[in-house]
Amino acid sequence: MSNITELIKKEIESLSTDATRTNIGRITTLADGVARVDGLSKVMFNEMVEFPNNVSGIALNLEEESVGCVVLGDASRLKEGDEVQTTGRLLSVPVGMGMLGRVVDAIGNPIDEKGPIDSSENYPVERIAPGIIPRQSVDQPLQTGIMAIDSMIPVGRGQRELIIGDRSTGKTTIAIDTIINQAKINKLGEESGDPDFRPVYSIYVAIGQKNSNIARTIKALEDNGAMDYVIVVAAPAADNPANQYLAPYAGCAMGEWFLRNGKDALIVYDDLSKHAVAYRQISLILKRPSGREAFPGDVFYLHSRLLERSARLNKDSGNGSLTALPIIETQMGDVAGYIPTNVISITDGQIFLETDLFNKGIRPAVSVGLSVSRVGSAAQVKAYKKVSGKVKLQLAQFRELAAFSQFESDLDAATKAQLDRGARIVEMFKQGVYSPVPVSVQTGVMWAMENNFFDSIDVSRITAAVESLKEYFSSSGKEVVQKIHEEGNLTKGIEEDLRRAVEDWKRSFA
Amino acid sequence: MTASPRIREISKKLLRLTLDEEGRMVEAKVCEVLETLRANPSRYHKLLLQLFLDHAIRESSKGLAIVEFAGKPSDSSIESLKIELSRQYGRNIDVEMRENLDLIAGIRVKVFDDVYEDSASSRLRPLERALC
Ligand SMILES: Nc1ncnc2c1ncn2[C@@H]1O[C@H](COP(=O)(O)OP(=O)(O)OP(=O)(O)O)[C@@H](O)[C@H]1O
Ligand SMILES: [Mg+2]
Repeated sequence: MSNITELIKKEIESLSTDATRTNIGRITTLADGVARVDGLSKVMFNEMVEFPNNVSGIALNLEEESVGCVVLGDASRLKEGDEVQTTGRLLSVPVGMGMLGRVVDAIGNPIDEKGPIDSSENYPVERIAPGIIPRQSVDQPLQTGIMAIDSMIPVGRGQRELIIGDRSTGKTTIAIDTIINQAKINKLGEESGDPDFRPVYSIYVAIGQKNSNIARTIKALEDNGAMDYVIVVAAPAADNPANQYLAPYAGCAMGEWFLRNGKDALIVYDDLSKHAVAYRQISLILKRPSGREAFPGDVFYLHSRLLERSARLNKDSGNGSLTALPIIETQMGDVAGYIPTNVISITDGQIFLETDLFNKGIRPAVSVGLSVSRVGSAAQVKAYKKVSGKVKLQLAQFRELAAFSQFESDLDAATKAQLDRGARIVEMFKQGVYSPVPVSVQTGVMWAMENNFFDSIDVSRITAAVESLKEYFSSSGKEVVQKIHEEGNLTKGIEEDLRRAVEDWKRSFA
Repeated sequence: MTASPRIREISKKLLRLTLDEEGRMVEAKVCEVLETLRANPSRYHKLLLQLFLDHAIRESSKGLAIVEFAGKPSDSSIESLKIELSRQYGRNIDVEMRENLDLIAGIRVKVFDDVYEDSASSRLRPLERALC
């Protein structure tokens, strides 16, 4: 035994020398936030390097005679001939509960003037995604509070669901609504004191957006009381491309902390089109060979390695989850572009937003035909599944029939009924910004639709009627909604209560 | 003009021609290479010479340890440093001594792009960074 301790002691002694060993180089050229460095022969890929004046960078291109480093921060403080040093560290960012409520930049520095961040842990920004063994299939819902999505394109915890559409079609709004809904659910859950309640924390990564847009988003989160559960990572358009390239990985590292600590988190990447453009810019400056649309060859890997890090872990691995809502902006509805097809193939489904619908006032402008969730329905609440099961088919049939019926003068009764129902469902799904609806209320509304309570109301008044019913469910009809929430299923008794409540509402509405 | 990979390859070959068995550059061999190049000038003559020079500078700095110190180390410790470095790099390493009072106390050894440092100023650096 004493031999062994002696052995270990010796090992420690041999370690504890105070001399440091670093590897250095000199900047040979410096342009567009990228430094070419001579030397640094022992630098690792993705290692942090240190320039003078407290500027840091990352080694991205390891070539035979030189190294290409992207500069993080102010490159104007550097000049050719400056010495560069390896650090032996991979880039990492602060993580943990202390990050909540904060706005940080791509390397985790606070930019919200709320003082230093209370965090004692750091995670590397690049990490290999969890393998197959610790993963579990998606089986818990992540409710967006948006009726059209929760009913037809349900999202589960650990899923990666793409939000895709042209510019200004309400992509960001859907993501922010979802974040606000999580905050609302968290607050109710925490108040209920339920020990099994699992809050969902959110991370919003803004890439290449205008500062004014980011400020507006943060304000919306604050005004809706969501900021306490949110981390915002901002790499605005005016930031150098290196920061824009890093921001999603930094946000993902913060999300991974929740994942690995048995908690649930949601991450929004807004948006990955701009992320790909930032990466293209860096790659062109680094003189990497470019391919289609001048993107480098590994642009697929850029997003696959990011999105693969979202997962639902099994019980043995702590039961945590990281759900991702990446956003992609298309040009004139073209989903067959290079970056859109790449990301579509990596994700578990997409929410496709159409400009046409948006302009017609059908908002959120979710396209029924092109949107899909490949795994989410396994996670829907039973009661909700019961009432929403048919709605996607009904709506799809409606769109088809509506196109046909333009040529048809007299329609048979069944077709007419389908058209009537479809038109009312479209109206029911219209929903304003930042007003997510709890799933139990959605259940009540959809149940009323399924059970013909809206049929006698004129189509033009459906939106108002739905609003009024939602209102009713949060006042006089509170009890039945609470029962649906607690039971999670529509039993005979609850259905009776529901019928009575909706009849009561209808009398007052008419 | 930027050098094509082929020119780079040739310049490296030229360097290899000037090394002896222990990997050191030999002056006579360098002269020989220069003469041959002069006798058969190519379109890339100047560029090739430039690259050859870069390699030569790099190569010679690989065999040289620049030892900066504040407080001169003893001759015996310099000798043992030389032996240790030569062992580590698998080639004969010459030592060049330079006084550098910025170190405050201690020693800093630079071999090509490796730096070994044990000095007062290097220990103060993290402190300085944490404070500002
Ligand atoms: N459901 C909705 N009801 C009413 N207005 C909406 C709705 N969704 C979005 N809008 C409005 O449409 C505009 C664009 O929305 P948003 O910023 O979410 O779109 P985007 O697709 O993210 O745009 P960008 O391409 O600029 O990022 C905003 O002014 C927003 O208020
Ligand atoms: Mg947006």
